[in-house]
Amino acid sequence: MTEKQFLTPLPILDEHNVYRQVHIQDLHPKERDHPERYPKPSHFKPDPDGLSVYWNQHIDPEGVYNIIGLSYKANKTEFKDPANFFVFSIPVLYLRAVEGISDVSHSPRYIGNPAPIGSPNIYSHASIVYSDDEEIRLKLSDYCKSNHASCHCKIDFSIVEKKVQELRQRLDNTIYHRLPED
Amino acid sequence: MITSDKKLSYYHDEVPDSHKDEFKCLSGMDVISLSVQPKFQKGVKHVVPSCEYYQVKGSHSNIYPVKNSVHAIARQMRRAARKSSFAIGFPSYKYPPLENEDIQIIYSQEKESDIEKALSQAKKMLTLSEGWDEANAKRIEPSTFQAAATFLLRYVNRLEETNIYIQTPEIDPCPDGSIDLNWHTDNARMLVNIRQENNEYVAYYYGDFYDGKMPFKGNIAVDTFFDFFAAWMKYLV
Repeated sequence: MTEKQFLTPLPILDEHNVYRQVHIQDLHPKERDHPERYPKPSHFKPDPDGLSVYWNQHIDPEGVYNIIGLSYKANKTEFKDPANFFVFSIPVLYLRAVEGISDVSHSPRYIGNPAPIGSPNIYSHASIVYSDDEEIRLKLSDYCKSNHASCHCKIDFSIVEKKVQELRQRLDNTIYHRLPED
Repeated sequence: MITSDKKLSYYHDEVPDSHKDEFKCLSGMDVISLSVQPKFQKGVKHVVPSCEYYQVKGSHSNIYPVKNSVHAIARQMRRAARKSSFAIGFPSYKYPPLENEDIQIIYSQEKESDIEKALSQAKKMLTLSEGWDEANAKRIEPSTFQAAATFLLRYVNRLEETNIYIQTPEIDPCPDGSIDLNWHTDNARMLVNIRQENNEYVAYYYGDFYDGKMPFKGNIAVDTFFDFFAAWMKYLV
C-alpha cells in the first residue's frame, strides 16, 4: 500500500459502527469499578476537525487498545496506559440522525512509513464532524448511558496488556507503524 | 475561628480591624452564611417581616473575596427588601426600601449545602495539569472555575429565595479548559458550558424534557441574572 492509497478515504455506511476511546477522567460515575460507567458530555467536546473515532470495518476494540498502548501521552515520551481507557461503540446510523452532526467520514491518519515510536499510523481513523454544541454533547453522552450494554466494549485486559507489551518490544516494526507491502 | 455560637455583626461596608483575624479564617475553605437584619432605629417602622427572609447562602470565600462578597450581598439585600415589601403587600411608598445604614450583616459558619459540597469537590479540577486526559486537554483556569461557581450560586440562591431547590449538577472539566454543569432530573435534563469568549465568560446551554421535548437552547452572559433562564431551571428540582 502506498501513502496515497492509505490516505484515500472510503465511504462509511449507516450500518457500520465507530469506536471512541474514553479516558477514565471523562467517565461517570467516578467509582472505578462501577459496572455502568459512561462518557460524560464533557468528553464529546470536538476538535476543529470533529471528534476522532475508529471505524469498525478496519479495526476491532482490541486493536483500539493496541493503538492506545503504542501512543505516547501528549508532549511526553511515555506510553499511554490502555487500562486508563474505556472503548465505546456507537452506530453510524444513530450519529447521522443527530441534528447538527454533518458527517461521519473516514480520515486515515498517516504519520510516516515507518511511523515514529509513540505515534502510530491509524488507517481506521474517522471523524464525527460537528461544531461544539451542548445539545449534541448531551445527546451523545445520554445515548451511551441508555445503551450501555451494547455501547461498552468489554475486554480482557490481560490479553491486551500482553499484546501491547509484545508490540512495544517491536519498536516501529508493527502493522501500526509500517504500511502493508503489496 | 468563627463558629455558629460566636456570631459577629458588622455593617456591610467595612470589615473592622479588630476582627481581621477572623476574616483571615473566612478566606480559607470554610463556608459561611451571611444573613441580614434591619438595624433597630427608634421611631422607624421597618418593612422587614423577618430577617430570615434575607438569609443568603454564603459562598466559598476563597472564590469570592470576603469584602466584595459583603458588598454584593448588601446590594442583594436591598433588592430583596424592596421585593419583599411588595410580596407581603406593603405599599413601597409607606415602607421605603432599606438603605445601607439600616442593614447589618451577621456572619456565621454554616453546614455546606449539597451544591456547595459539589463545588468543594469540583475544585479539585484546578489541580489537573495540562494533558490530564493523556491527550491535549488544557488546564482549568481558576477564573473559569470562579465564573462557573458564581453563575451556579447566583441562580441557586435566587431560586432558594422563592423556596425552589434545584438538584445538584455534575461539575466537570472539559478538555478545552471550559466547565460543564450537567443536570439529569426525573423531568428534565440540562447542560450548561461555561467558557471564555473575548475576555468574557459566557454560558452556553441546552435543556429539554428528554427526547428533545421542549428544547431550550442559547447562550447568556455569566455575570448577569436572567429571569427566563431561572424560570427554566425550576424544572431541575
